[in-house]
Amino acid sequence: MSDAEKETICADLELILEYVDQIHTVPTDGIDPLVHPIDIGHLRTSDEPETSAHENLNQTESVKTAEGFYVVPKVIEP
Amino acid sequence: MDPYQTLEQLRQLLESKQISAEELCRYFLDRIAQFDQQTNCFVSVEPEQVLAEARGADKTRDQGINGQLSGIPVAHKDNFCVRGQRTSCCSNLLRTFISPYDATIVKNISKEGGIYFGKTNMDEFAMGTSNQTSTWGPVRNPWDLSRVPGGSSGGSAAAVAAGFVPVATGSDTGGSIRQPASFCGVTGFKPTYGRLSRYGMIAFASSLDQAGTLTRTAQDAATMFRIMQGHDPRDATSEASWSDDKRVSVKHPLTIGYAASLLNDLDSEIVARIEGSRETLERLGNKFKDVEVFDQDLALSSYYIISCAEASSNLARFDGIRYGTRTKSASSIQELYENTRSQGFGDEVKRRLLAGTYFLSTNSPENYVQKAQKLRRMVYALYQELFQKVDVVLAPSAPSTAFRLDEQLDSTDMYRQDRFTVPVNLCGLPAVSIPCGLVNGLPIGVQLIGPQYGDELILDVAYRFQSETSWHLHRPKL
Repeated sequence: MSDAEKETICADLELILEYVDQIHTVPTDGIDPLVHPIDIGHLRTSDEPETSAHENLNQTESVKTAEGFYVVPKVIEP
Repeated sequence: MDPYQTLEQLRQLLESKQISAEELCRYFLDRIAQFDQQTNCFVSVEPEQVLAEARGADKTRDQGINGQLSGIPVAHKDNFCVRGQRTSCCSNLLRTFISPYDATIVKNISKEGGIYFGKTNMDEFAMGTSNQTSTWGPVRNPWDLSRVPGGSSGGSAAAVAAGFVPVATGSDTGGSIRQPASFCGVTGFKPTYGRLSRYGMIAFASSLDQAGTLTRTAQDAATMFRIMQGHDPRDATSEASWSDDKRVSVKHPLTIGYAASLLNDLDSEIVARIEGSRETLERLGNKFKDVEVFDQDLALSSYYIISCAEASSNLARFDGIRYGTRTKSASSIQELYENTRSQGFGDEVKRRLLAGTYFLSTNSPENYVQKAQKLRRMVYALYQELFQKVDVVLAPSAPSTAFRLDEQLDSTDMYRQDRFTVPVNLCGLPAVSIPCGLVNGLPIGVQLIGPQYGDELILDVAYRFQSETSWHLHRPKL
């Protein structure tokens, strides 16, 4: 991001933080956080291998691939 | 040909062979070609493909095979994956992405013969309330082209309002179906969380996102809901243990909750339309009970913390490596991530991702996210208690009619557009916005909110309301 862009975003973030900081005025001791609106319990799926769908087709969406791998700049420096 | 016919009317026209699916689709395609340059509702339409599908529908009808939507055009918001079609979420980052698979909802609609009619414009990654953050340019409201259609499902709402399609899909994370429905004078339905699959709907905030529809009538919304719903093993949050026993029974008359405090800072004309809706519902035999709702600004703060935090996690997948656009200037993997995202995401998305990352990273004894989730529990508990006393709640859908495209709203003013809609998402409730009047020639809607699994109940109330009023029949002049 350019410096000008950073400056604008910082000013916006300050406004947002100022607004949401009001949550800290509410006493919430003893209240359990609600992570999800419906009780879905513990989900389990059967442990059976499946064929990954459209592997070749999916790779056509990448800008750069080679021999079934995604090509990126060097990750580990020598 | 009237472009504002309901699904049932179109179905009858097709079944009685007064019109073929090809003729019907050609009519709507011509209408889009004629008027959408003004409104920018669609980001992609493939006429040849539409007509080929329509001819296929005519053929199967001749063979006596009919789906509930056979030959009827359906548009999809650009965050639903459609196999072989560009699915960009209206972001520069996905502007070249062609989906290799169909979203479950797209598949369910297609199974019933609905004709895929194209992708509708939206706020980038569904983050916005004005449809101005799309990489494909803003949508203009068909009621007044100098105004926004609302967002983020602005293209879908405006397309239905303009008579380009009878129905379009939408998604609602904090009001993204209901607020644009209010601004465009159409019916916007957000079902109970988990009733519709989210598989193939590009995620914004997973514990809040819900698919739904923009239609002309509540009856059409009910038809679409029946077609789209059902457990999907590919979506872990899709209601696996659904059974009819869970459904809240449809009954009449009802006790309707009404929080007068919500109207405090609204324009008097808007208050008059909402009061008018209350009178209509009373005339239909329902009783009203005054109720208190959770502080709007606190609920909204909780919503923004949770949604930004979830978005910052969900959107981390967009790194330019496996799909989407990739920066051309990167000498290291770190630079590749940074430059791809800096160049790919728009300002509003960046703002929310940075805020979300900050909320997740603060290490105070009780951080933002956990505090917001505790407030979410409080909102949830209040609504649970409330639905012990009333059957449904009547509330405004939006604090104003459609505002002008050149109106300068800062981030928090824009976020406050959602203050009547976010509690529904925090609690996973169903809600429907229906037109309830015009203010200075612009539509305004009112929300019916139900308890979890009260989808059919609120649609029934909305249907009865629309049988008694004609606000949903008003049309913009294009």
